[in-house]
Amino acid sequence: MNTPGNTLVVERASLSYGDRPIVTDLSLALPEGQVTVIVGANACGKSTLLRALARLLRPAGGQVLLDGRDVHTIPTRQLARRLGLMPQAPIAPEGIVVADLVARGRHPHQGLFGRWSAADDAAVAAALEATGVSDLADRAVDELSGGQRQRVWIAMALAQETSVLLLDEPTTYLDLAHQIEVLDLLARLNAERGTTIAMVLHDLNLAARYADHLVALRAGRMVAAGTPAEVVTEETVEAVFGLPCMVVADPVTGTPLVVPR
Amino acid sequence: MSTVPVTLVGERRRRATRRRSVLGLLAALVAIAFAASLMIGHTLYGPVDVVRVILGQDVPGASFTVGDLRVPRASLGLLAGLAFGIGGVTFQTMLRNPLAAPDVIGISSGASAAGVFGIVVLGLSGLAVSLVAVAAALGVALLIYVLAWRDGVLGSRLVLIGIGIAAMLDSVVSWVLVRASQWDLQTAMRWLTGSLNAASWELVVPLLAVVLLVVPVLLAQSRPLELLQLGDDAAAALGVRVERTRLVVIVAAVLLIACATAAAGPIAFVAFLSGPVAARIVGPGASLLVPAGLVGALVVLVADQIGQWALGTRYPVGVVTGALGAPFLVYLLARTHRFGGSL
Amino acid sequence: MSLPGRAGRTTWLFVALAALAVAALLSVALGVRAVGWSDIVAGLSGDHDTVGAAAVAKRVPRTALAVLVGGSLGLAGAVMQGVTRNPLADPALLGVTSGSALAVVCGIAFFGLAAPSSYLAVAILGAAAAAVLVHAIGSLGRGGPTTLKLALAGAACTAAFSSMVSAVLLPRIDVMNEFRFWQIGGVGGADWHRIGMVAPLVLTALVVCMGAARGLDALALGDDAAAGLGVHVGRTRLLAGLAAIVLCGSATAVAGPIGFVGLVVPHLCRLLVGSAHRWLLPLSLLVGAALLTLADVLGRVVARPAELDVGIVTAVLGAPFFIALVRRAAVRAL
Repeated sequence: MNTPGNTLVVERASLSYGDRPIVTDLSLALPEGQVTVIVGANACGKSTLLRALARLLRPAGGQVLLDGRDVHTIPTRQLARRLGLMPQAPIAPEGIVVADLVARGRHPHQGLFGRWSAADDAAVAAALEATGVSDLADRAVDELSGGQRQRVWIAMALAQETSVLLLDEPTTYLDLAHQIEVLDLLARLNAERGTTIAMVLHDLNLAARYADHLVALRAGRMVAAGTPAEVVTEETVEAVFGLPCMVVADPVTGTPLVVPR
Repeated sequence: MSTVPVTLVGERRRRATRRRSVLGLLAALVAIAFAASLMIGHTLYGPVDVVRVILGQDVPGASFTVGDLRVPRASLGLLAGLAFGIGGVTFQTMLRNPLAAPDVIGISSGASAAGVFGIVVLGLSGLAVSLVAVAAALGVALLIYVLAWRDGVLGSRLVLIGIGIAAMLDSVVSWVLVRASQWDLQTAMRWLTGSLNAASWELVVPLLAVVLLVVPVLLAQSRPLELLQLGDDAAAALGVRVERTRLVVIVAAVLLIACATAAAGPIAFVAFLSGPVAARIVGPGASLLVPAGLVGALVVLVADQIGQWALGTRYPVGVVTGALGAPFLVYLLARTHRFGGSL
Repeated sequence: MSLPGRAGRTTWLFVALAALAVAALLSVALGVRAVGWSDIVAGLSGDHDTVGAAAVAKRVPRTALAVLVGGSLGLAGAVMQGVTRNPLADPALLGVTSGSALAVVCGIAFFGLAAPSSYLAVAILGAAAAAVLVHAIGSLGRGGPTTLKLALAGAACTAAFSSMVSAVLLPRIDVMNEFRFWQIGGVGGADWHRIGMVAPLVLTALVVCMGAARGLDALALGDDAAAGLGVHVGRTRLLAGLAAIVLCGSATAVAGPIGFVGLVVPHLCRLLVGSAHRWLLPLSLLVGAALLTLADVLGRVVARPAELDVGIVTAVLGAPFFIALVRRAAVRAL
């Protein structure tokens, strides 16, 4: 299953918290250089799957492979140079300014007492630039709006300069305009930098709009995977969400649009 | 890749320079407080006499007062303050909560309970009390850690369990105190509050050794510790080995707190307040270990002078820091919670 | 676990009552001095002729005090957990008892308090002030008073209060001597006068709490939902909170700070009769009384010929229970 086109691969993984099984026997491959979106009803295991991809959770069975190597055998710092994660609820230390927070993304590139280098400065500047928060560099993170804060966290993950970026519900708590703003930003990063992106999204229509590759989960099992046009059908949506619906073409993008009956 | 804007680099340098100058200023203040502790007393000695004593020359009167009394006392204050400050801020940073200081979550209670038990029940004194206290603090910390472990250690669970253990230990302390004779009672109470009165080289040298051994370990962990502030997941994603870092840091911080408590008693609130005070002074975004250590040392040295000379009767240093600390604590609680933030 | 119906709940009330009766009997019968049946009967009928009978007679007020204090603490804990919607609420952990302690120490040291009646007023005032302070601090900021914030605010305030207590005590060895016996929490020094003083307060608070039972049920759903159900949220919370403070303030005044009873008892009772307050409150009262009485008996028996004060027994037995609760709680609930 480890074709050259897939960087991050899940092989028959079973995931659980304690004794509670969440995901059973799931296989999945993230196509390189594409945007993969994981969707599913609440508590179907999508965040758990993302945590396993980010090696935050060790599978009870099966494995997660990065370039054919089990992620749990790769030294953490080395892995952090390949694989970035934006968790669902990251915590900003009180009063920290944007530039300092983004600079923390450089940790995997620095030695034990590593000195701050020109390359670090360049990476931070590029990340601020790419996310459009350069003007906020000296502002305290606490003072920012939700959308701005989300872009700052993405900037931190970008400063990490990884080829794979995982995001757990990057649009939670944002209004629609800011959701679009964040997703546009991610789409642009994917196009310009070729970053492989995988994220969990709640909104099926947004997922269909921004995904190259869509993965649908239900009760810890994969129900469908493929392009949005393949996955978002009336049958699959009913199977995954239990929601009778019609699927029409999005008048703007032509991607499938779900309209509940 | 875009070129780096000059302002970005400039701002970072400016912040770094500011931090360095603030640190320099703090260190200078600590040095002044230390020197003042050597000179001030019933008899005032000038800097020349003090330096001559330290160089080993025989100065009538000063050799004993300064050499045998004031130098160990000030050294103990300096080291204990440093250890409390660094140990305290380590816990606060790691648990992302300024209230989660060792005084609150049971580490200090472990040392206190064992110390008082040693004095009152086992009739120990001196070094033996210290050893018992250090062992107990380590044991209690280990117990809290083990009990808080369930698929990894969760900060909030560790704090709550620590509070429960502290409540139990405190009641053991008060039970032991009821059984104490009048004389033991007062010794034990002073020991519970924190005092530099018993300072001697016998107490200073082991503490110095521990500080020299443990502080570098913590400093090496300062960057992973900062990253832990972003949340366990974010830290792990940045290449921090979360559980290992946490274990190393806990053991190191507990050693500092335990040894300082064993030598000087749990000087109230120094571990609690040094970190937040340091955060106000140096500003956010940088490691607080060193500044908090300096603040701790400064507070203990100054509070000891106040306790000895400024209040009529001689109070142990812990009463002064406790009285100063309590209102500041309430202010801090109110402030922290309003902003819902960490340090 | 399925909840028992009305009959089952009534049964549990009677079981608790029977347990309390047994505990009280044990408390009279057992002690440092072993006594026979005749002594017990004689002591209970007011006869002090033999040493054994006199010892029994002395145990009677002690038992009454344990029942009173245990009942107050159990009930206060149940009400506090309801008012704050916080499963770990306990008068001792929330800093209320150390607030009383500070008030009492200041009273002894600065105002020359000596009469137990003046202790009582001062202790209740201190408890109220501490409760308000801790709750205010714990409610600031995002998310209102969460379990963790309240517990930390309580622990931090306890640390602050204790350090102020030592600052007051240290230069006053005489006060220290008097205070340490009070601080530990015990019912050994009971007499009818003190009990008579507290009993009316406790009874009044009990009536108020029972009146608030329905309001507390609604509060459990959240303030907004409770208001939607037509409950005066502010008034219910104020009345019930005040009653709980009076309960644990008076218990603390007569017996010193006793921890964990207010925490453990309501949890046990919720397992038995569910979370409806009109059942939970009376059961907490009975179980609290029975448990504290038993703890007192245990303290007298395990350390013969010395006695372990009941505050120690409850802390040593209660802390593991607290830890188990914390470990069981879901991550998000913290």
